[in-house]
Amino acid sequence: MSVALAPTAPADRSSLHIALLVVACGAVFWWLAEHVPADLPMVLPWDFFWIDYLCLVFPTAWYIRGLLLTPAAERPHILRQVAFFSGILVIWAVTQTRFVFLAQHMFFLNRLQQLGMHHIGPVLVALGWPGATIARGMPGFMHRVIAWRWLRSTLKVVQHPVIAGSLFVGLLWLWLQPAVHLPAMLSPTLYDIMNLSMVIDGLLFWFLILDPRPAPFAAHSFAVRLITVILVCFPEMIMGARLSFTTDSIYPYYDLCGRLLPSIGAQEDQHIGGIIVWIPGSLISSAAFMIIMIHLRLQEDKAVGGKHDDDIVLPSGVRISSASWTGRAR
Amino acid sequence: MRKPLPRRSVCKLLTGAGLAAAGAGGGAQAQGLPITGVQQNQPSPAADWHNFDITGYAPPLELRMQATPDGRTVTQEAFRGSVTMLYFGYTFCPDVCPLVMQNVVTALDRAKETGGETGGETGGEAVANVRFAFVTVDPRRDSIKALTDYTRSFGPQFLGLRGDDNALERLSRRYRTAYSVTPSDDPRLYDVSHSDSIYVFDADLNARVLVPSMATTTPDIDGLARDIRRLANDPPSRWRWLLGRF
Repeated sequence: MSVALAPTAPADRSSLHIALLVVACGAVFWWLAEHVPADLPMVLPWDFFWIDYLCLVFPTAWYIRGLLLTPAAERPHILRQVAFFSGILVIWAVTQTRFVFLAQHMFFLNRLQQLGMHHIGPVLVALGWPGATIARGMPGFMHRVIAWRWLRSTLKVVQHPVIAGSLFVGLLWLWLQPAVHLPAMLSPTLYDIMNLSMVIDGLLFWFLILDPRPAPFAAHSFAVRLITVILVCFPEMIMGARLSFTTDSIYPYYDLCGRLLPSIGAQEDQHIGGIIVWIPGSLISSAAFMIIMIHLRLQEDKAVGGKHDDDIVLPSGVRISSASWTGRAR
Repeated sequence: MRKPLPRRSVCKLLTGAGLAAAGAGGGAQAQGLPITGVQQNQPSPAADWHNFDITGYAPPLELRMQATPDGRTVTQEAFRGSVTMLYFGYTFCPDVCPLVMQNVVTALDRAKETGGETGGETGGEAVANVRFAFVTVDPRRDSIKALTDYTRSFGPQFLGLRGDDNALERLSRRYRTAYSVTPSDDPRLYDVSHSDSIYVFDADLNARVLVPSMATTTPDIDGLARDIRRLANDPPSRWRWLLGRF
């Protein structure tokens, strides 16, 4: 009881201020998008949704607060910070800004939007590995929320490699079904559900795949994750190739609501869209494969040769440091 | 006196002609079938729509714009109680808009015919209450006066709507309509493009069907006529206001 009655700690007051600032900015963005959508700068939310905004901005604010609370020497590597902020910027760009309007009126831009929210953005955020920093910047009650048993067990299920892989390609497939695509593009609610589901699934999947830690600490071993990230490539390639080579226009939405670039016809639009599903999708999987290989090599190196036991000593007495092939600091 | 309009601006047809092909999706597969009569008060299965059935997922009508003939500000409430067709265009449009409007006039005339050769058609009287709202995407040039003259030439069921850039953007964002205007002092370079589908709302303001381009070589005028007649005779439902609210 004494804890509950204690005066608010300064740290909690600062998270309250952050929350108020985030909500106040949201209210301004909402008002602008409702009343003057034509006069907005390109980077501000064009079609404002509170859920998207709060889910994106709160973790970013907590990350910044977490960074400030961490002593400079213990902060994540600058490249990880850059990766995190770039990932957030990519997700913001494809879900909030006026790009949304463009992506509603060209199929290939819609594919680029989903690539940003399901692949590029979440990959960059996961590479930033921001969990510990966000947790440090979170208000106290959020720690209890994320420690909630029900949430933990749900996460464990959806991050099982088979389920995570199936969700990853299944959602991509679902929203590409012509009978689903038209309602999803026309209904503001469904459109938002589509975007949110893609971002959340992207984050779940890439956080599972790109965990820099080995198996006992990460939920699954490097080998399982290598297999998962390569297996999801094949359905993606098939979906992309099918879109690229189909000669009928299968998405009437873009004919009904108009294409922004009249020089690109229905078939060419679909063709480019298919290539975006096909090639960058596979490229990102391959890049993730190599990143896991690097984590794996660094872990093995730490386990077996971390003390320079694997240096080669030639009979002449010359010592060749293993750092030349392990990349480890001498 | 009405000034002659310089009809030189480019009106790009944003939508492909591909939709004319039957089976493009949703409810379009019934295109081209002979009229067999839709009986009043006899609900047909959803597949019987001749255009894209968007009931329940496109948002209900909501707007705030100046209306012809006197430039009074109207909201969606002005359209409650009648089936409303919503179309985005501009009066200087040289080809697409006049063609769409002319085909709509023909469809409305056919929808009004009752007990014709095909027999069994009823409910044509209710079609007189249907309204066609022409929203200009080029409010810089389309004054209320120009819009009044333009829409009046198609008949008393047609009215024009004009809003500033923000009102227009809100409406087009709500209905996912693409348009772009590149103003120029030279009328030949004044470039306007817009999509040419028609949204149809029922008397309770719910979005019901989306009509693909009526400016193709094979517009489904009969299909539009039958859908309009069916909507105009739709009996009121206590729960219909819930549609598209989620």
